[in-house]
Amino acid sequence: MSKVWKICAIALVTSVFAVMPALAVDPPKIALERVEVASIQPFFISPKIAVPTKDDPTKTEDKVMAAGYTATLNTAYILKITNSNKVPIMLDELTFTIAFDGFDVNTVTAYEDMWIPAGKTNFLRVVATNEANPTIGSLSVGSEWVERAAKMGKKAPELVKKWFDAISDFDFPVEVKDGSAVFKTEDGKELRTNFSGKFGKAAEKK
Amino acid sequence: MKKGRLILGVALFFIFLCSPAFAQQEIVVGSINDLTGATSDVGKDMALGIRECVAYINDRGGINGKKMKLLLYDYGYRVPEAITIYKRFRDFDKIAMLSQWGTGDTEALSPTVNKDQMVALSDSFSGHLCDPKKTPYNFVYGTDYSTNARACLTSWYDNIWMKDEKWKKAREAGKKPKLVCFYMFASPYASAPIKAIKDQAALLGMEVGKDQDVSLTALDTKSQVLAAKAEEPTIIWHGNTTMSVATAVKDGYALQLGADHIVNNWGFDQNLVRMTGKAGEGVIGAAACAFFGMDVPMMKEVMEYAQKINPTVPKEKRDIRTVQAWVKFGMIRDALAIADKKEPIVRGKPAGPAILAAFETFRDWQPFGVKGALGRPPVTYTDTDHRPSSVSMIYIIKDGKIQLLEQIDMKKKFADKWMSWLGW
Repeated sequence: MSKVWKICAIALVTSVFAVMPALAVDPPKIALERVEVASIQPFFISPKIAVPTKDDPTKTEDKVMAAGYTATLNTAYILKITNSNKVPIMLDELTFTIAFDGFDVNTVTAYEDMWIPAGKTNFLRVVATNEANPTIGSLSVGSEWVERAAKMGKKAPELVKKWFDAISDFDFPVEVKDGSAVFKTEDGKELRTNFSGKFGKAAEKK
Repeated sequence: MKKGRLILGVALFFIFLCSPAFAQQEIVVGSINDLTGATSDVGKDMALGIRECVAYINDRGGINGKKMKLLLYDYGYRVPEAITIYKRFRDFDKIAMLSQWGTGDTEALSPTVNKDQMVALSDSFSGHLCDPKKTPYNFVYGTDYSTNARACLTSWYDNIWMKDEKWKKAREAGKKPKLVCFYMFASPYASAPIKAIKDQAALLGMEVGKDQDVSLTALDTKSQVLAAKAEEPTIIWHGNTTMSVATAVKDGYALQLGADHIVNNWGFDQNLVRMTGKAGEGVIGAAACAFFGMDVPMMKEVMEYAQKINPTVPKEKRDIRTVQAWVKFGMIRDALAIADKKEPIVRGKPAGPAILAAFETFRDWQPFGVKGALGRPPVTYTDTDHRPSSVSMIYIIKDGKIQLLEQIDMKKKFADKWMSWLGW
């Protein structure tokens, strides 16, 4: 056998072995590791300041200073992504819905590509921003949420205020739901997986 | 020797497969959606449908073999957020075309996308976006709001006012039917077709009462219903979204308003049926396509991908918005494929004029080339008219179910008026 044929045979065998593991790969597993409050403002729907009343300067009244500004809550979701395959896998994109107390309050997406080495675990932090006013608006329009809040005897602003006030204690369930992720192998094959998770004292009790 | 060449060929093929250079080309589409704002209840269903449809497209070879890469972001139904996302799409992500959501953001971004020569296909079917002389790069995929409003009123007039026993006495007494509009005055979506429906009322010889301002988040519309009742209306136009439409229909029923109801497409869905119950019987509404689960071509694929991509979302939570997403992205796929065939779309190289030209070749277009697919009336765009169709699909709630009342072709019915309605 000439040298050329030997090289070809080696290349063929090497490439077959290189491709083989990629042919039988499973999507990495995603689990919710924890939730953190990334940053928070005290709850307000619109910023107000107390100004003296016209009739009696010793008394004050609240005046809205800038409509459109509202309190912000940033929560961070730390996801544990485990690749048990013998080949590295790339996270292509990931999306999930966030629910507080069973109410959907946000859906976030991460498009940043991230390689997970073979047999290793990576962690991904996804930050979600919730503003008080739009969250109230969202709960007031979605029929499912309006009916649910009514059954609880709560109005949307009361619920949102409660979440702003109590999020640092995680006394209510914070849920990651309808999670969906797309991964890619080195040869471009797409793998999909779904995930969900709960966090908080309420979730721990269960 | 021949054997040797064969082995060499096979070896090179496998080496090529293993190489990182074996990467699929992509065409990037940016999508601005509402996942947290005032229209997020329907916006979420739309976003799910978009992802499922894009997966379907890519599973079937993408766009001329190139992958459709979707970047979908939430803007919370706030115009400044939409503008910021668009600039990111344009300057950093280098998208080929834009998918938009609301009337407010689509109309606000219209001067920018037209200056940038960026084709934008919107879920807002505002008639203001359909005149290519004013907004050449804007497209809507559903029959525009103004045509739908005119069609709903005409369909009610022909099928109910002229025929129904309920109005016999009034008809015979020579009474003119009276229209009252319920909508949020400050909402660009809700106010977009008001001028058109009042014009149609005049055309049909109807009277028009005072408009009632109803918030998109209204949980109580009794004062508006009582104010309207004083005018003895026969027909109410609901221009809002489902939640407030349901509230007004229920309040109208409780306060014995006595009028019939017609609804714009974003207020007419399975949730309306569920929430209004008995009060919803006989409510008429426009729809862009068939409802989720209806027996029409391609619905099987829509349902299969809903299960495949988002198996944890219950089927009963899915609605017409998923189906609309398939119509919209089926259209995007075909336009990009036509443009890409003419001149390959390369990331970072402007392709707007070619994509615009591709859209304007659509003649009786149907989703995925399937006749009757998804119940969408065929779409035609020309360089002088971006209204996708003159046909409105008019549905009615009967026995707790949404049923097709009629397909009404406004161009055929009002041939002398049709062109004069363009753009408003």
